Amino acid sequence: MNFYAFAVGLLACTAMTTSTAIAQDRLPTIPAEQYSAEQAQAAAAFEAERKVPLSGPFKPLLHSPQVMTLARSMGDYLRFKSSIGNTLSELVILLTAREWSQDYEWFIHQPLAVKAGIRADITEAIAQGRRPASLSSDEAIVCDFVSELLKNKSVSDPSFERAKQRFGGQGVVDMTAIVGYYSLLAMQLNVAQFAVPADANKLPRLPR
Amino acid sequence: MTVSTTFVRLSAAAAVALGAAQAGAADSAAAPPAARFPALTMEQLNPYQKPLGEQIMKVSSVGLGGPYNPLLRSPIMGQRMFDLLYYLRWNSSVPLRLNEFAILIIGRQWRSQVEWYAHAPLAIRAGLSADTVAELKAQKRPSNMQPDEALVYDFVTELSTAHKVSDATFARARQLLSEQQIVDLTTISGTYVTVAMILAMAEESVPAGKELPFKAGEP
Repeated sequence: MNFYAFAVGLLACTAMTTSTAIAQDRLPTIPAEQYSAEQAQAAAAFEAERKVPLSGPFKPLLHSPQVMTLARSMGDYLRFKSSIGNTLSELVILLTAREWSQDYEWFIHQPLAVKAGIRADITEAIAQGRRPASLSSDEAIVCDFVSELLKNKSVSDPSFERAKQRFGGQGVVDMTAIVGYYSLLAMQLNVAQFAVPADANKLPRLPR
Repeated sequence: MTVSTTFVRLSAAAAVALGAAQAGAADSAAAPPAARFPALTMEQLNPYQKPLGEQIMKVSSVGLGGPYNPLLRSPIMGQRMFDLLYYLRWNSSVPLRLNEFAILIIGRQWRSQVEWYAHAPLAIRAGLSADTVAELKAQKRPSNMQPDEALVYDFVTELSTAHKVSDATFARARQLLSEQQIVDLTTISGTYVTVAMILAMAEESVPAGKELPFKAGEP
């Protein structure tokens, strides 16, 4: 990315920050004391499974409590138990968050990715829309597969074959489902204009 | 750059020459490439896959094919995605006509043979006009939509192409839909993006002998 594009991205970020106060109102977080019986049950099931209070995309999703529970259940597998393991899944999530310019997903998952073993310079390159210069063999397979899927709406034969040889049929299906699931969450967050803390690092806006 | 381009061209030329030399000997060169995920039959399913396979067969218009073929390779995830799809299809707060329209908008963007094959008839049966479906297929903004259809078109198109929904479109959504319906419409869009990704990754097609909705060479 050239300097001009980066500057445009920064400007876009600044413009966005000023509108978040209004933005939060799009799909307001429901206060616990106003939960319907179904919402209370869905929130309790979330806390029982995840051991943390409802957060992020699950707040707007709670407007449709059964959908929230069904989506959460996919996430229980794709985030924590997928067949590609929890390091590479975090890389998939960052590539997906970058594609959707989803600041909240990035804010939550960039530190998780680094903690799981993805180098910070790799996450920085992804944030800027660059292909990271130096990747392990597994990371390169994931980056090629996911980037092609998001940019080309297809995966080339060489990238597919490398991924299938390394991760198996279940692995490539899980990897694709992680891209899809985090795209779904990004769409919820983008519709709701879900705010990130004021001091969170925001993704530069890239022209689409 | 120049060197590698030249190399690719030379390699391609060499491959053509090699292919021509072998063509007489091997008619199998014309055979279709192996499927990325060979089709499964109910008899082939293992105990982890079988319960999901049985549920699929009750509702699927493509048997164990389409997205179900790759999804069966990851049966726990496949079951959970099936449960979400089932809810969205039968219990969504969004009327079926709009539900199916959203699916077709995503299917058109991904040029998804399977999504279009399965859902164009369902959309028309649910009350979406055949003209609207035809114009969407031709990549035009349908010219004669109901107000709620026009909203769904703008909302889903903005979200999936610009990756955000404008204030004007969101305000229209709030006039016509409840908050739950907005969440469900977004979930339908995102879930069928996921299905389109799985279909594209797996290179799934329509059932054998059925016509492809998008012909070779067509956008």
